[in-house]
Amino acid sequence: MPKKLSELKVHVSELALGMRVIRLDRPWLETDFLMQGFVIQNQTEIDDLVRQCEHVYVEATEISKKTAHTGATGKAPERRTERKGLFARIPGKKPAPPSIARPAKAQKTVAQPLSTSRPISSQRIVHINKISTEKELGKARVTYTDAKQSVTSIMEGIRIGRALDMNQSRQAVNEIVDSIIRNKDALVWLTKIKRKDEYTAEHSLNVCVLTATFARYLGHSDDEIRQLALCALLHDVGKSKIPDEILNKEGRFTDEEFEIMKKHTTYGRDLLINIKDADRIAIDVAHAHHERMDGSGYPRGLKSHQIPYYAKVVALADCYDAITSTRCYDGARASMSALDIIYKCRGVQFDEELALEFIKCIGLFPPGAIVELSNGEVGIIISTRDENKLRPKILIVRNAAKQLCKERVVDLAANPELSEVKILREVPNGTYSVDIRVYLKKGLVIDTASMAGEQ
Amino acid sequence: MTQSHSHERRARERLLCDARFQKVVLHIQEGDFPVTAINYNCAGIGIFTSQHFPEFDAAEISFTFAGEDTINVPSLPCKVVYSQDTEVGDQYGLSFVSRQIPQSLRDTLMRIEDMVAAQSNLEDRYGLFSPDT
Repeated sequence: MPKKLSELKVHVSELALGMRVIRLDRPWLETDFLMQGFVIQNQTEIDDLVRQCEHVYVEATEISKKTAHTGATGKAPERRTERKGLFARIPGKKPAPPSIARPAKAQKTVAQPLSTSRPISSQRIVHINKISTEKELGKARVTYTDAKQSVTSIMEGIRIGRALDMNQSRQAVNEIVDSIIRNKDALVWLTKIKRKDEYTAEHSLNVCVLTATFARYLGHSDDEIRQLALCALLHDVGKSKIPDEILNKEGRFTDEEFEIMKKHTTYGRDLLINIKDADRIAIDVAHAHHERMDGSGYPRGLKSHQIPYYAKVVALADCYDAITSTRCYDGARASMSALDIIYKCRGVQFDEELALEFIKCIGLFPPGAIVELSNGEVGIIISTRDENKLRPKILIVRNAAKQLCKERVVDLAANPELSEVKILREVPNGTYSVDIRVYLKKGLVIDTASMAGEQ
Repeated sequence: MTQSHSHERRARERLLCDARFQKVVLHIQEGDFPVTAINYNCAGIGIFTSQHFPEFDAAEISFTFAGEDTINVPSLPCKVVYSQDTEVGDQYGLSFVSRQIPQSLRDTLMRIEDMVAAQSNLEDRYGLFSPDT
């Protein structure tokens, strides 16, 4: 039975593109390499290693015999096993979920390139809401507020030289994911509220919420959702090393400032790599979440096959929240603007398949969106059903004349008499004097009977 | 020059640009830059770019619309009505300066809008939510 290894000694003649070199047979400072650890991206890097070393240590992963045999028969690898390849890069850091754990004797350790894709069409776990949006919203508010304080504390701590507290991060993530597993819509509501003075912390938290919601939609296991959410929460941790005057600048960045901002990916990697119990994939995500499928991203200009799957997932949530937020300014753009950009940039900036899934997950009219109906009424989306995103439940707050009216809940999917009523468009928060913060503060007024059976 | 609005100000709906919008180029003082057309109507266009442009208030935009006939739209004068720079890319809302555009070209812009609208699914913008998708 092979011994589990997190690194594998490889002769330089056996090196291949995509392998992550984590250690050399001599100190890094005695070599030409600027980076102490890197993914081999071209033949030149292999040649440089051959010239300067006899052997190196690369990250190892585990592949079951079953998977290896499947590959040998030419059949497509089993999807969940493919995803496991990513998780198992550092054995012992994260236990495999029960559904994919396998006996040690069925495993062998091999060196292989990073897993950068997780096709999303098979073996989805179907998560159903265990509680209504109305009931979850109260808990979600507390969770969101607590998590925002944690994120703020983490970022401020790093600024003053304190080590990143992974336990604090994991605790915040666990509460967020618990809420999303209970109900997929409540926390998404809260991401709609943007405060201009708390952008960085709020953005990290919103990306965490959106990523966890997306991961749930994709059918990941609970453990996988937690890992993805942690990566998302920490994806911008490097911004804590960006000077305040740049980070909080009102107005456009100069070219020089923009170049400094771009360094947050490298800063994030450096911060996380020095944390003893940091999840290794979180390091990759912090480093690679601005890489693009066409290779024009930063900091490394990776090609699509070199970008870790988790970074591709987080990049979508990152873009969505960045576009729907107006950094340091009032107001927020409608969700559709962000979805338009994701749709148009699919395959170029974002992974094509994931981009389409993300749009399906968010839906044309996400929870918390203010919408105008074809009958002139204005409402706020309360919840959506995956099977019919075009016909959500809506809290009507303005009548056809756009005046205040008695609030009521309409379920477009469940009421045949509303079959002619359609959603015309989403409008930004504040339109027709509708402010979703007001409705969150006072709590949703929902006919609980109409919420029965919500999925 | 960054603006944002908490109220919907568009008089006309912006239609999602489809694959027929090609060779979309923004012309500003610093040069000509390919951009991605996001949404469109005869009054303006939304664009997105991963490049970081210097600040500008006015620009010209040109594109090719590859419909049944290929329509080359020359440099249209436009003003920036919305811009947002983010780490994921910069977003601009450009309004065509109609008084500087000849009537024939304005008619062409309207015709392009009609052709885009004709192939748009106004209820299911991305064609992902209908029962058969």
